[in-house]
Amino acid sequence: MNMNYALLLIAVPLAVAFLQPLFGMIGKKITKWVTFLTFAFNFAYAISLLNFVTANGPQIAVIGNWRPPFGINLYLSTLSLFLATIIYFVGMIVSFYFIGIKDKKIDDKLSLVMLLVVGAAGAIVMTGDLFNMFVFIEILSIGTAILIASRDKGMSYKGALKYMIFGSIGSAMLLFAIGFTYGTLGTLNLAEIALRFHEINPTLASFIVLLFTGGVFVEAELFPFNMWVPDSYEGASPHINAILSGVVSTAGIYAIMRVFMTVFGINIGDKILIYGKLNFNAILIAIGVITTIIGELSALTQKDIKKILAFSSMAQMGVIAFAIGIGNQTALTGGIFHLFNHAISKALLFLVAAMIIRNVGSSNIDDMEGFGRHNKFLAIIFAIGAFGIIGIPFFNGFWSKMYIIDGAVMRSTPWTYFALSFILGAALVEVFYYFRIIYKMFNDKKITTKNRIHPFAYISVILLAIVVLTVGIYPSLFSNILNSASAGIFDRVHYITTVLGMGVLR
Amino acid sequence: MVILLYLVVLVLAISALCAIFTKDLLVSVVALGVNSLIVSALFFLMHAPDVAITEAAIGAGLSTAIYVFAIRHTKRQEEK
Amino acid sequence: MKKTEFLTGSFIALTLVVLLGVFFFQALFQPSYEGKVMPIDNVNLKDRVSLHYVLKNVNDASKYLATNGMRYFNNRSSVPSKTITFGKTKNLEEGSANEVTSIVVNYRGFDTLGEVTVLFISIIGLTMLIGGVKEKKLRMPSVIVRTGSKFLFPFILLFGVYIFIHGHLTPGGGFPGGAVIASGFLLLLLGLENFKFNTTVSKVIESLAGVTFVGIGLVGLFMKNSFLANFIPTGTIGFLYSAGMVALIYIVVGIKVGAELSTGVAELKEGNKND
Repeated sequence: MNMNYALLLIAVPLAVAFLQPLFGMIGKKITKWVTFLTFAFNFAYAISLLNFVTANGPQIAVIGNWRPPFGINLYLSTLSLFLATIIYFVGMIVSFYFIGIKDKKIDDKLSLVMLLVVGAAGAIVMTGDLFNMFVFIEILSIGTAILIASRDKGMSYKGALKYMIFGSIGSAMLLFAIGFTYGTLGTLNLAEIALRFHEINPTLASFIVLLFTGGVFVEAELFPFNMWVPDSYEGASPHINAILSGVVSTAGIYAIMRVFMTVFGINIGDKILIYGKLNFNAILIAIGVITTIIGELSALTQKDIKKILAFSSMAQMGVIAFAIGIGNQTALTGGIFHLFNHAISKALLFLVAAMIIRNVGSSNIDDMEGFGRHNKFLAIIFAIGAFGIIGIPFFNGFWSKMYIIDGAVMRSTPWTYFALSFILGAALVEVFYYFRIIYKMFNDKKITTKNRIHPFAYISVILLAIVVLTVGIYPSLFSNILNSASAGIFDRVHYITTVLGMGVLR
Repeated sequence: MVILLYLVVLVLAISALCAIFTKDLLVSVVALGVNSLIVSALFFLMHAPDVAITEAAIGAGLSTAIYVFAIRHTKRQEEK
Repeated sequence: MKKTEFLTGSFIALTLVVLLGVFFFQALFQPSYEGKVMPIDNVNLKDRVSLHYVLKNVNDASKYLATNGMRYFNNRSSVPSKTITFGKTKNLEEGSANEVTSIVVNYRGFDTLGEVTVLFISIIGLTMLIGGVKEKKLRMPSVIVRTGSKFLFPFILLFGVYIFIHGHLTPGGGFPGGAVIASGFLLLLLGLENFKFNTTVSKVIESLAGVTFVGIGLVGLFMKNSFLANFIPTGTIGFLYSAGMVALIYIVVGIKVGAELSTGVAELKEGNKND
């Protein structure tokens, strides 16, 4: 199988996106169908590549016929293709849901921007070059701001402006980090930076790490760069929120994993000197715990379902950052598994919330009382999604949280136990507010509903619920993929020799 | 040569501060246009003609025009 | 916001900026570590990947890497290079005389595709979110401005086209060429009394130009087994018909950027018409 053809995963969404204005002049439904079919093609091709790479080891795809490190290359490993499959799957489901909505004036351009955002996120997880990652982070950032502002109300413009300000400052810091790295090392290839990062002066290296942190934590929704999350999620339409929490934050967390652990080489034992010995793992654990605490406690006081789900997203990103910070392979496997579970379950929750909001007419949970009596099916699906996030046994969140706790216990320092207690306490708070919503839905009141729900919307949430239940009952479906994915992050030598060695041996 | 660079950077800083602290949005936009022009001159002094042409055409030309059109549709004076 | 809150907020912001600035400046003047890497204010081209872009011997460097492996990275300048004469040397691996163009379009052309997409998505966002803007009448320009802009417009257009056609020989390229073309249309929008810019035609041109760019890359994929590979022979360096696909790509990018920015400016002035 010729690996250079994997570029079609990025080139086809771009080519279709350039053609979409022409389709938009014909009709609006055609653009939505074209977006969905492009994502379906990407999803199928990514799955076939994932099967090949799991059997044969990581591969590279060369761009422009220049060997790395002189040209740009894509690094196709199990982790990259697994995350790319998740991203294209969430994009496919949301675009399928989007077909069922009644057409508005701007919907042809909205499906174009959705295509570019999901395509750029897929390119971030597959690339092997630092500046290429920056360019696609820029596309992701601008596209997300447009998606947030597309709901055309006052609060959506405010949310988009907040995201744009945070995103611009983050991108500027990222550009400084890239500039310093190129200035001292002379290369932009991730494998060569991994090979030679120890040559940089430690003060400059710690400054580069801090700047890079500022750039990437905005996308990954971690403290203190996540102040845009409540307003932006509230301002956007709920199906756009499914893309934000399923696709954008996945790409951000991948950037943290790949650049900090494989390229900069920060895992257990390495310390970054910032005027004294400061362990970056401890910083990640602390930031993860603070994000989780802020997210869960803020979600308790909210009455708007979009804001509750937004704070819950933020908290799950904190749990994943905690898992990355622990630094052994079990915890990292749990972190990647939790990323998968969060993307699927949160997309499910946001799509069900979108249907409920359109049906009831308001997004306040007090107005949803008694919805369960009216439409049992949707309420049960919401409950499935909520159980998946919380971690009730035999739903998918349970297995990923067990892996993370297992890894934390394996590390067994008092500081880790202290942080773990906060994570478990936050999980308890989560149970409370999700059960409050479900209880209100199954209340005994009578409510009036407005619009019919299109069958495409039902199909999309049924597919997601099937995935949630399947992974919950049979979690070892993915176990060899996840194990090779987390091994790929720790194995720096294998990364370097695959890219620079295969660049040579061809 | 170094003196020239420092002088140019000083004018850059002055125009940027003027763009932030004034209350009239049109004055702010013109200061941003001056900023782009000085940055283009700085790029030329650092031996990068491609970037200088691009910055002059886009920053000092089109960007100012787009900002002025945006101000026409909204207010001209910034509120307290 | 009250005055004390504003002052406190700006004081904290100023402190943070000063701290970041101190960090920034002292990081710039660090000495080299273990004697291997030069500090950042003392640029040594021999240590960078772009040395091989300038000497145009990336293929030779890759072969050198194949035989010397990881030891090559500490000793980059030892790859042999041949002399390149402007106007005489033929069939280089990358035939454009402008260094910046060869890096932007050929060695790292994928990033240029990404940047073109950034511009595309920005203009799409602008036209999408601008609904409800009504056209207001401008003050009627004087007769000198009206005549002058009609007279100047073809020359501005010619200058813009010159910049992007000669992108591989002289400084410039697709992006400033397109911006100058858009400035010409801006002059017409401001200088004439009722100039209607046909946004439908420009959107069609923009889409077709974008698809052509990705199409050139896909032809490279099918012919030379690598996306955006150069499949047209590079002629003599310094001639107009040289540099393979670089000239084609810059022409396409120039047309696309010109159409995009003109559409953006025209829609901002007149508001969105097809509703």
